[in-house]
Amino acid sequence: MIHAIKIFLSGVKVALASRMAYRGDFIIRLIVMLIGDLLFPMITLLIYQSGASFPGWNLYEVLLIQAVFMIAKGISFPFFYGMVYNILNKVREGTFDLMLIKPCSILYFSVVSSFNIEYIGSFFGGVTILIYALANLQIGISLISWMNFLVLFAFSILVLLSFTLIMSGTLFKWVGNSRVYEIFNAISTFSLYPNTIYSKAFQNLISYIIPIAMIAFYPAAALLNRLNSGVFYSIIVCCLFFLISRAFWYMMLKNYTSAGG
Amino acid sequence: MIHVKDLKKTYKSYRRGSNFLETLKSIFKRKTDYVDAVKGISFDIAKGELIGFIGPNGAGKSTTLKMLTGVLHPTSGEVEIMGYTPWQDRKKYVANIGAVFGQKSQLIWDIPPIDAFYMNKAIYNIPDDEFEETKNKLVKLLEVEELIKKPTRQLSLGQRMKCEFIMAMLHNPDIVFLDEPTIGLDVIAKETIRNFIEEMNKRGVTFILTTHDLGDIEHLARRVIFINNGEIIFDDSIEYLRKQLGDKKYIKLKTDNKMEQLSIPGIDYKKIISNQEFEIELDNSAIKLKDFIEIINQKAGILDMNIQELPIESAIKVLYGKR
Repeated sequence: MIHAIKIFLSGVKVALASRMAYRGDFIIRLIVMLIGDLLFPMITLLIYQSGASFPGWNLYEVLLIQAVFMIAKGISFPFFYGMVYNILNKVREGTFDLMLIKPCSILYFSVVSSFNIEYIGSFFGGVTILIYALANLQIGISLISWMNFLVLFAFSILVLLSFTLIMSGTLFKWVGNSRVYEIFNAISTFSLYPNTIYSKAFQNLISYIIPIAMIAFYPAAALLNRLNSGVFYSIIVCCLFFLISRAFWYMMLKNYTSAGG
Repeated sequence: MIHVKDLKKTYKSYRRGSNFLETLKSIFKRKTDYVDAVKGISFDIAKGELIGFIGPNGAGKSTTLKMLTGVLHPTSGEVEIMGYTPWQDRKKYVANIGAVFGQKSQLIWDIPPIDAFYMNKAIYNIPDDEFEETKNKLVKLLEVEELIKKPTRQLSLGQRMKCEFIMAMLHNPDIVFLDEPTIGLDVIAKETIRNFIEEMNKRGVTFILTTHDLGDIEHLARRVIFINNGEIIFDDSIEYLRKQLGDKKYIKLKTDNKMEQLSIPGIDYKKIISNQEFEIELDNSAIKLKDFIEIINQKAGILDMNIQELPIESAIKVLYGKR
């Protein structure tokens, strides 16, 4: 465990030092990503200002869901989402070999060596919107609701990790497929809006088969006291989803053939 | 220390066609090709050996090296290195090996090598005092005290390669795999690297060296494994490799007077610089060296003569010819 922490700290330090080598580029990327992430809350604002709405949900409730999405992204992306890009490049160039000759878990090392601080902008953006939404909602949130939120938020991170494993895993076989990001971007959009606006069948799909609703909807619903009993099944699905994606990653790793020498 | 038996690796690839129509067809129906990169090779390496692992491009050298380092799973065969099967006991096994890939850097482009060394310290779980001692020793040996604090991107290729060696040896590995470690280096840098390898080998480190630079082989390797088309076609000492060529000498000759080319069996003109200066390959089994000297003295007189063993290139060319 101490060894794992040492590797983590060392990996983070190196990644930070690398990114800070180009400070101007780092700051611009941070801002661009934050602007990109604010797009959905802005659209939501426009929808409500034009008089339209998501049935059964007020503006601040929807903003709360989107804030949770940004916070989840702001935590998970710096820590592990970078591994998709990292593996994409390393597999294409054959330099993934260098990771395989290190005496630690290859999955753990892939995660640690991909730390990317520039995604942290989403976290601060998300926290700001969360505070704004809660202030306007003017609802008392109990300690139990906050605890439910934290537990479900942990599963949100687990779902995002699972997606990262699936995306990066495919790159061992379908080398250089830079479109994998788009799969996630397209799918995760469904978690930005209240579950109830979708058809019943689709709600079941994103809750009990591919647990996208866990990314933002369920944790936000915990704060709003709007959880339904289906969340328990969704938690089990999240665990299964993670185990399957982890097994998938290792299975795909066996397809790694390196590059010619 | 290293035991390899009947090691095979077959790659599956798809034929995509060369023209537009064939490429279009290949989207719907592809023909599968199976390429036998390594065809059942066997060898043993003892502790402290320095092996030159050579062969033409695409011969299967890198694939073998990748299987020995645990990077690739073989299709079949056995490998036992220090009691480990590389691809099965990867984590434990790689803690005892080092690797330098001439074309793949372990350093991190934007930060100084010293920071990358500290990252390896964490990964290999090297105790503080042991790390400092090894690092200082290696840094001194390679004379890079100041360089390791500069960002890697500011270092020359030779300087980077020295740091790559430090990176690979900080954890005191028993075996080091080198894949073209002197590629692109100037003569001075090559010599430094070769001296370093030699020194480490004297201290008991086993090296397996893959290279196209025959200078590396001549300077370092005592034993050569030549692989071609996935098969080992030679595994013995350099001296034995030279003997395969027969009893031949390479002679650089300058004569007193002008001399026509001799058409005597056993004399093969390799280079004619002028009609008084020649480079000749002499086959001792066809003409004795003393007879050759006598003939030259009679015909034109010897001004200068340099007799050498055949260069290793000649031996390698013979092996290449066995494709």
